Amino acid sequence: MPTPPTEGHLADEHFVRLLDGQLEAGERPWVEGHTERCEACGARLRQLRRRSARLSGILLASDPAAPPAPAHAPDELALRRARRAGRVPAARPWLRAAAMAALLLAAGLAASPLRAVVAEWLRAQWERVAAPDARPAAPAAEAPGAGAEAGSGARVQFTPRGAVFTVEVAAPQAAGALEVRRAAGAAATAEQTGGVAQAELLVLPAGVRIQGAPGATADYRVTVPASVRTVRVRVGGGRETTLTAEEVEAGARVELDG
Amino acid sequence: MDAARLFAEHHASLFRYLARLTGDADAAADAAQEAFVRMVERPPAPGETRAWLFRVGTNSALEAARTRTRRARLLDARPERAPLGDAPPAPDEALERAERRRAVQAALATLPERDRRILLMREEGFSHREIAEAVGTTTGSVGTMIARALDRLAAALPLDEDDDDADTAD
Repeated sequence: MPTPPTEGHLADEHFVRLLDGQLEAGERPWVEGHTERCEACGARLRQLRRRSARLSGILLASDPAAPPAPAHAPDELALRRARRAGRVPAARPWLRAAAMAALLLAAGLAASPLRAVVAEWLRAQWERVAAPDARPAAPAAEAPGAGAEAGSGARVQFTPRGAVFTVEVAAPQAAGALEVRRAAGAAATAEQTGGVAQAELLVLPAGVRIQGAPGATADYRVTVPASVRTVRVRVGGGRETTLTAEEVEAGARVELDG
Repeated sequence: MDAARLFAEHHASLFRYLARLTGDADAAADAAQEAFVRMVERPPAPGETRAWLFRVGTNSALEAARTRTRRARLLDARPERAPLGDAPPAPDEALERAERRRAVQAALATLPERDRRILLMREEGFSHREIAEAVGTTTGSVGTMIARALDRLAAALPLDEDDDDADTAD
């Protein structure tokens, strides 16, 4: 088993920063060059890379299932907590009704231009009274077949570790494809570019996991930086496609149907 | 601040991190939700939301773990107060996953808490600077601490086994 490097060798921090994409711009060439020339440092780098990848895999394989969505949105819970603590006045229906009546009266009786001024003042009072019961707008429901805008899914951007990038598609889809391209900078991106139901994009240390519903129809695009030389696409834990750097440069497409 | 968007963006990662840190999915879910509620109550500065959520979630989860430990000691002293009832039988896959989780938690427990947090934040894609700020150390020392933690974990987990998927493209 390789031992950690000593005099004349790189320190562990160099290897880990290389793996994590944390080296300064000028550091990377000489760190990579040294690990290619020095057998001990190359072995230590490979050891740390292997251990990092294995740890990621072991953690993923033992993670609990994601919790169900909470019954109430965070801002709803915060509002309830504030009410219990007395920081927000409880709803006062009688005051709201009075404010509305006054608003209508002002609109009907006040002479222009005073009418506009009074109406605006009453409207401000109405909003202030109505605020404690304000509910956050519920997220718009998915409307299949209603012309949902393509490409309206989530997007993530991150700096991947290592030269191998893995795209895990949790479940085979009914249709759709994954496009893999080279990114311009040092960051990788993953986004949903088509389909109605929004998939969840989970960032992994050396890749991304696309958590969509089985049998869904959706398209995705992943871009990877130049540091990534191999892209592995796994669909549903079974079928695996390996893309070379040349294929990524040219723009690759992987079908995601089962 | 769009709380729903921030929730969609960060909740899964925060829950996963807290579940790995505590070994308790229920506690992780509670702590994650608490972090988002506090975010609504007192929004962090823009650009610091993710780090803030992880800091608040970690504090909440660790405090809850300390409370559970105190309660467990009390129950040990007063066994007649322990809740009754058997848990429902779990399917095989869930049992296997739970067993793997126990093994991982036992291995992570061999690390100091700070090293556990460093490794798990790294798994969530935090930069070394962010990790250093979160655990109270220097950016330059994070890489060394990660390597030492991996060395230590290799004694408890199969991190050095041959793997066909191991990266060979140096």
